[in-house]
Amino acid sequence: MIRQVANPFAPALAQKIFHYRWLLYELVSRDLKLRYRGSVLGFAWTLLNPLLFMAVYTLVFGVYLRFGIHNYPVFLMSGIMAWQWFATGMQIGTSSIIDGRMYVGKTVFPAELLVIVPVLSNCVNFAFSLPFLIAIVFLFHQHLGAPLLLLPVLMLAQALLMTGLLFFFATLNVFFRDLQQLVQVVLTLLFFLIPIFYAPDVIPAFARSFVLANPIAVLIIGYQHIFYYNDFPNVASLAYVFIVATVLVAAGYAMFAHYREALGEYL
Amino acid sequence: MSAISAVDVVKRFRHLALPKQTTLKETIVKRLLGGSRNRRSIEAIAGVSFSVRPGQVLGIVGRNGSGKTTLLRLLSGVYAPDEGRIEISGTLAPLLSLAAGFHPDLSGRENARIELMILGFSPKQIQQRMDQIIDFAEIGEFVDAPVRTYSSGMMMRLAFAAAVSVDPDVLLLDEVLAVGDAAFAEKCLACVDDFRKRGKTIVLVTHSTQLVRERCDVAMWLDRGKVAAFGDPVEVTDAYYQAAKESERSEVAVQKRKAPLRTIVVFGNCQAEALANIIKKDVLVQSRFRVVYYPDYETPGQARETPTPEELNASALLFSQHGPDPFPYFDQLPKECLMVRFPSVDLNLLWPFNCVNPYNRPKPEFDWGPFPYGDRIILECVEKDMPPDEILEYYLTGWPRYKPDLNRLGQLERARLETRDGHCDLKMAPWVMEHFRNRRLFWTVNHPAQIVLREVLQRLIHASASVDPDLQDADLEETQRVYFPAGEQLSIANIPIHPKLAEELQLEWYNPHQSFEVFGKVYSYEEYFRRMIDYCVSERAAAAITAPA
Repeated sequence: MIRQVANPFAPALAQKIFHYRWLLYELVSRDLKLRYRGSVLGFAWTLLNPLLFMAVYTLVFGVYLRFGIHNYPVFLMSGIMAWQWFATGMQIGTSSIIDGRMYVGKTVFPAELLVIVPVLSNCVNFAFSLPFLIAIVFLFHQHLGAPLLLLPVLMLAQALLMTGLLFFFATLNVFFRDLQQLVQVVLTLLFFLIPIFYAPDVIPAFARSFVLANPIAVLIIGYQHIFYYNDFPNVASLAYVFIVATVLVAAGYAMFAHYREALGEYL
Repeated sequence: MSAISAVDVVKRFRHLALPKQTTLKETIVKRLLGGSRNRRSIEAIAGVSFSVRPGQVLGIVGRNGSGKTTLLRLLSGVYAPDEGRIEISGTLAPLLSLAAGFHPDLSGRENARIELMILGFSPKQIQQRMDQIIDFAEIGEFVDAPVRTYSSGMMMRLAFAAAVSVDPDVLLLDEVLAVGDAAFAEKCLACVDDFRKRGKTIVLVTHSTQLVRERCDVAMWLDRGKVAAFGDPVEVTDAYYQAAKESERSEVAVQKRKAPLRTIVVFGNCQAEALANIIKKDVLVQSRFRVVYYPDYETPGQARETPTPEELNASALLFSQHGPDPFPYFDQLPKECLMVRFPSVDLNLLWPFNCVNPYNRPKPEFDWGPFPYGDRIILECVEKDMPPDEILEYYLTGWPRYKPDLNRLGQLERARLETRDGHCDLKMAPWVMEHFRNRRLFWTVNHPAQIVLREVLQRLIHASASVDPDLQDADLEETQRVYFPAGEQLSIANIPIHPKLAEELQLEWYNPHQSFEVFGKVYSYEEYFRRMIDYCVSERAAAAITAPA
């Protein structure tokens, strides 16, 4: 009924999202529902997972190796929650078009929604676990303040960044299914390369600029600023992330739009 | 003003020519090696133009792969045309394929919600329609069960109900009415009629020409991506039907020409050869089978005939006198080849032998002498031109005149059996063979061999029915009439003989005044003869084989 000519620019994406907002809502809630359907602990897994991480990492890096980070659990949790959103979203998102093969090419389904859904559903997960994070902050007598106002900006930047990347990955993954494995490996590596469980100042100076050129590293450090240092994230680097993310979304969506027809044929 | 208009629509599939699962490595390696990117495109729709007025029902027919579904997907907007344009005025609801758009883990209700949301409805609008959908689909409490638990009929009910609830201006239906029970199909058709009355447009892809004739205003016959005919439903479906029939006929003809005749392998001694010759004469058999006789003995001075591999491959039936296993090429027979076995002793029981001329035996270890009976009795019968009943009588009562030495007969037979392997010991007299060929011998007595023959033929017909879809019931009836005039139904092809029974027969051969004790029962010869025949064709025979000795 709605015949939208594929327009390889992000505003078209925005229009589409707005037009299909109810469907998007339905799909995100379906995604959340299905994830926990049939599991006993349900949403608790979203909290349990980083909690276990926290316990182990605190033991290893706080007690054994003595990183010397004060209130290490707070530091770790402030970064790892957002990382979990990123990693899970990227992993599921990369195979999202393949997993949605019952829709793509068989009904008048806007396949871009499939890509956006894992970003949003994991964002919701992240949002739900925020009270838990805040509780931990207060448990260790740390403070939260005005920097918290920038949290939505960070989240928006992260959502955009993920969406942009996923348009590339999800589209390419239809044609090259190895990409799924590749993304998995890269995510594991990134977890260690990005200052999530260690502070950025342990990175030697020559490597630091490389690490900080990574938008997701910038975002993680941003979260740490808000929740651990009670400090405003670096605005310039945030702006940098936004620019990168916007370019990625535009380019990724253009590529997706270019291959949209072929997706149905391949699936 | 048309509801649907398509102008010179072309849709190519570029990617289908590529292997479906490509890996990054393969692609990189191919690029590096400079291999050509094999991108042949397939024109699924090759320049289709048509228009449908509002309120018309368009029926699309065509063979599988002719592009019907692709065209419907183009109309629905799932695909965009590579060339040409499609215009649709008003809202559109496609019902493209059953499971498409249904997530197996979600409930029917959730899937219907998503389905409607795909079509652009808000939750509020969906809420209004949900009850209607559930009512129409009639799937009861299943509406809240995961769709993976649905039958295809239920899936179709839900999909149809959801599509109809949209109340679109244009409804696209792809072969969905074929699923589901008659009652629901009727409901769907009533719904289609209702749509039509209200001036809505429907496009219906179907294989049912009847449906097109009854419900459609216009019809399109799609052939290899092109419109072969468009217009009056009756004319279009007629043309389609004729063409389909013709191509089917030519295909069948091509297949027939290609398919070699199936083989019937007959394996055994001269008795089997006689049967083979009779089977060969059958017209029905001739049209479908090549009968190959393969002797189980060697004729001195002659090369042994062997079946060719082609004949063996095409075997539909092995008719073996001595069981299937001794057949030297048994392993080369196809699995579906049927086997009919009859033990030699059955035939020998009453078979008229001419053993006067056992020729060229290299080392006679036994003085064969003449067989004093059998063929002579038959000869008398034939010369007197007796009717079959009398021959039976004569045969059963007349042979003692020849005063056979029963002990000697038993020794003869045993010697024959012992020395048979690798040698020709017996040859049926040519005149006996002649009578076999003329079938007269088989009408002389109700001979087990005759029963075997009937059985073989019946098996043949069944075997050929399973390999030959052309075989009509009338052919079967005709065969039944010719070979089974009394209407017998025979059920055992593998006629069993208990070893103990065979042993007793050898010892007490052909004495009408002697009674037989078999399995604890006493029979006169004639009784025994009758019972033997019954026995050969009865279910009990199968049971007897496992009876305690």
